[in-house]
Amino acid sequence: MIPFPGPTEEIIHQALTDAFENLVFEEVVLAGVIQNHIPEIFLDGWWASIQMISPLPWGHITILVPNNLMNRFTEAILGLIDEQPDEAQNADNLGELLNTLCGRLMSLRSSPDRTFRIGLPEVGHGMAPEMSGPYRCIDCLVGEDHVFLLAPEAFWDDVIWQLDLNNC
Amino acid sequence: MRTILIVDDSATARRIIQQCLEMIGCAGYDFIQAADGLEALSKLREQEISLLITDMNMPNLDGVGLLKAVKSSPKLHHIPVFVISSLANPALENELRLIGVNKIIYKPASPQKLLDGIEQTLGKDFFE
Repeated sequence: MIPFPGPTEEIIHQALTDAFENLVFEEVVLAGVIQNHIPEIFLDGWWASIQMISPLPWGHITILVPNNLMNRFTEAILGLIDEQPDEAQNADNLGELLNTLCGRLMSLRSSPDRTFRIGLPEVGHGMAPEMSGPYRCIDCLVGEDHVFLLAPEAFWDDVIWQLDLNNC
Repeated sequence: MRTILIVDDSATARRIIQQCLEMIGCAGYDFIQAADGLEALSKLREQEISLLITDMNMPNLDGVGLLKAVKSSPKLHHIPVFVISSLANPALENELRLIGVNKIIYKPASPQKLLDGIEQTLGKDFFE
């Protein structure tokens, strides 16, 4: 049984809140954590993924957003009225949303003197790429819609974050 | 007429930054945009820029590469530079300040963050 929400989930919730409230004007509620599994309710939608490069190359952080919610995000970001978001707009907006979210996650999880680096966002529609190792899936509610954030198990490992990795 | 160059690989981020600047009194300025450091260098060589605002994490030439090129160029090094990035942390901030960055702003950008940055580093005279 994983204690929920633990300190790491609180960091994740803070980062989600910072990114979502500022970019898409939406509140986020944590609904649960699932290990190594994406719920079947995410049948089709948008995904974005960013590689964590340093202080430790421990995998990707991926976000899954259903189609209707992604359209709503894009309408909010771009101020669209009576205009349907196109695929390029959705892709660019989701990449920027995850980029902002990952920056906040790393800032909140790392010590202040640690330099970190992340890759460029990859974005797609449909099946998300498989995670390369053990991961946790954070189930978030945005209104009535579910957004899933997948993060490698190592993100929860306090020992990793306390190592002096800048000198490795 | 002042010209502001906004550099970010996300069209959304460029649009948000421009809208924030327009809201704080830069509505009459010329805005030009670039999607990476290489495109930005090309635009910097074409015309006089009053303020360069750049992201860090970009393809082809990233923010650090762009800033090193700008600050080592006799023709460009005087241009004030703001970094708007999701990657900013104290360690990176030190590196950027050594390069000569005037202001570092954490994403997401907001009108207030940009207003504070301009007033603190460039002064109210920046607004025509």
